[in-house]
Amino acid sequence: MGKSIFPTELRPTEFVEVLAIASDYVAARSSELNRLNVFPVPDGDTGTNMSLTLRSTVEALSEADGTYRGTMDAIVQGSLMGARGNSGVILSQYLAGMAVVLREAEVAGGSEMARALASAAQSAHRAVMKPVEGTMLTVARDAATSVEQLQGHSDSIEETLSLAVSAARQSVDRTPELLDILRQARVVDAGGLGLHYFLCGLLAGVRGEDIAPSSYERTIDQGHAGHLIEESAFGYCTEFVVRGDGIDVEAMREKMSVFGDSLLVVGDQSLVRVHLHVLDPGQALSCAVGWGELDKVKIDNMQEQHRAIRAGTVKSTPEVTVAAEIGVVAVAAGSGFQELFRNLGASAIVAGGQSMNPSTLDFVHAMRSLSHNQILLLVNNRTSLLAARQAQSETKKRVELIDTENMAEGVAALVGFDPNGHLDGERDKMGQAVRETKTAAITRAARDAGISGLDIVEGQYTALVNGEPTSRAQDMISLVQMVLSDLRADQAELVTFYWGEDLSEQDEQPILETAREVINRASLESFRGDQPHYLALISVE
Amino acid sequence: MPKVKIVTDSTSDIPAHVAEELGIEVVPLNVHFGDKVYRDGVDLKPDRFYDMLARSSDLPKTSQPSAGAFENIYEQYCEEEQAIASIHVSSKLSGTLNSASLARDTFKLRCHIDLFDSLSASMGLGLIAINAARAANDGADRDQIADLVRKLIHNIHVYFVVDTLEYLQKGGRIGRAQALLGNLLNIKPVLKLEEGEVHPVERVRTRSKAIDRLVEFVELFPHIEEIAILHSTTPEDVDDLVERINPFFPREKTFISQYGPVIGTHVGPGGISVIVSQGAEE
Repeated sequence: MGKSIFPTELRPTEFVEVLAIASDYVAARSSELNRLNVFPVPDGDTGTNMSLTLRSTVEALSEADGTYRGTMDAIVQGSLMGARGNSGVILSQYLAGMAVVLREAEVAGGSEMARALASAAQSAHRAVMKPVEGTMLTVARDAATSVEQLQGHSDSIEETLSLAVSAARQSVDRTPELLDILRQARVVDAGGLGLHYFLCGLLAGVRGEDIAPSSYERTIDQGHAGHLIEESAFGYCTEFVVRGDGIDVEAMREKMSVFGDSLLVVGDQSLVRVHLHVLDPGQALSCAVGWGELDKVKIDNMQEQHRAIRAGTVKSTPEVTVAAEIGVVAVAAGSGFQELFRNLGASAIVAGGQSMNPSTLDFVHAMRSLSHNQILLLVNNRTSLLAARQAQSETKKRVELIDTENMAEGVAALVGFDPNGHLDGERDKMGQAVRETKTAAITRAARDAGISGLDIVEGQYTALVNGEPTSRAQDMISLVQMVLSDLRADQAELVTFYWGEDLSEQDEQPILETAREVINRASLESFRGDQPHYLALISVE
Repeated sequence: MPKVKIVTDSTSDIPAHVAEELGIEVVPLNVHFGDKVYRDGVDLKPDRFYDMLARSSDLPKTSQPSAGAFENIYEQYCEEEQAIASIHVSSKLSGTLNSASLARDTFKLRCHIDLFDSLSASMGLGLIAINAARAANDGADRDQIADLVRKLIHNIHVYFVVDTLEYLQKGGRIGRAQALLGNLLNIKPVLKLEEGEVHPVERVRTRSKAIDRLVEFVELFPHIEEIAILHSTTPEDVDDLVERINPFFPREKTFISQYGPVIGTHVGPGGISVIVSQGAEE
């Protein structure tokens, strides 16, 4: 249907580039791999070990002479010298196995790679005194087996790698079935996953794809519980009936078993009922369709239940290891707001406290705690600006301050944040979002005051817009009406109330009802920020 | 030499009269509501579908046409020296192409059948089929049509806004946009189709900002050949968009359509999209 748009074979210099990309690929995921470790001492940190092994290998290639013989010899040397830890040593042997085949090649195409992966798996196996199933060795062997048939026949290295990556992934997912200790810890084998990532990196190199884990992907990573056993519960619970003539039930069962698990195929030659858990129900259905007519098709998303469970915990800050991304630091007070800022993507929260006045040191600590070198700092309070500026000059990182008046503005700024954007662009985007949002802060006067021509009596409710008191009233409801009118809520699209800790839940409803009367077409939302000091923050967009 | 027959599927959301005029054969997918199965656009049209959607507590499901359905269609148009160009919804979003492929490979048909993965859906697919049909009606041959289709696939961009990601999520087509789930606030997603699946573009706080983004995307293109604007249940948003896009692309040439039941199942009420085609020049 069209030629492959990927390179079908690699020359030695291209292979070196692809290997370098694979090395970066594994390095970008090394924290994740480290977290998967269950064996106490033997390996230490799998991610670090495999990354460093690969890096040494790539460094040794800087002198490579442009032939496969020379390049492969350099790979063997480099990886041997740089191998660290158990997984590093096995990986170096894996590479040596690949080298044995590729050093005789003119170009590395699909067939050569298939033979190289087979040789690599054998070599890795021999490196271990007591080979154990459910580790890197199993993944290596499964990847090799999946491309066995391509050894004389493939046109394209991309095709070979693509199959190998797929097989490796499935193999990794099965490792907990093979090793008790993995099953108990509910993780997959770190070395196996590392090898899978190495193969993914080679494939990404061949395809010219981006290798960094996107921060969007990171947002769902739940740490080590993210991979694994739970993954086998991902997918769709798929059920259907097939009506036909002369259906070979056994053959159908065999075909279906490839697509997923928890398979049930029951029936006879004219009517068969199928049940399975599959990642792509379409595959199972279109395969079944070849046997007859489908009926009573039922597909349930199993992942949805998991998500519902996990939604209770999706507030943990995503861990980012790629320094190119932008980190956000936000000043937040109140448990609701702190959780909200994390949920929206803030990497660090500086606790505002009662007066929302963190010290310079508080800011510096927060910025140092991040691995990012580019930081956007949401000040969320004018009085914190000075300390924030001070902290900005104390660090070598590139820091842009977003001069938000309060946390409601901070939320508006953070909603459209793209961690993969450019710092200046994101700063400007945030500034624009803040300008498009009007906010007011409601508080209760602690004492009499005369400010900006307003006489405020102790106990009165006061509204602050842009830090200045603009209106006051004896009761909250009246004040809210005035504020909504001042902020032109009748022409807005969205009005949001953020309730403070000093406002009780019973008081929310009457205020919302009042608001609904004033607002025309706008949506009305509320959120419990539990902030101190301000009874409510109101944003109008 | 008889002209190439263009076949597509009902996810293309091509208005019925247009398909008829151009002689495009649209193979219906299926919509499952409770126990009943409806052929998209044949047994169930958009108005009734969105009505049912609003009143039903169960979400409908969709399924691809069977290989048999394709075989029937192909047989109809197959004769010696005839060619069929069968252009379909992204294989990452539906198994429709699989069924077409099974039909082609399993049944002994006497004509050439070329299958194309549009990597798109709705009028992203529809515009390709429409242009292919126009070319076929002008006498283009099999190779020319294939060339045209491939170029268009690269040059068509789909951006859309949904009211909630729930429909995409429950239907399993949320793709990379699942990263936008789990928000504590009610945030509006701006989405696009890329590499055949749904990708997140941005989060915005309000629906009107989301629609602003759609206008901004149109402004990004230096050359626009065609635009299609679709909605599920909010035609007023379409009017607004047409008005705002008019300075960049005339409303007379803009295709307006409504998401059919299959696309509607996955997008939900309140969905709106802008599809830009840069044409078939390199």
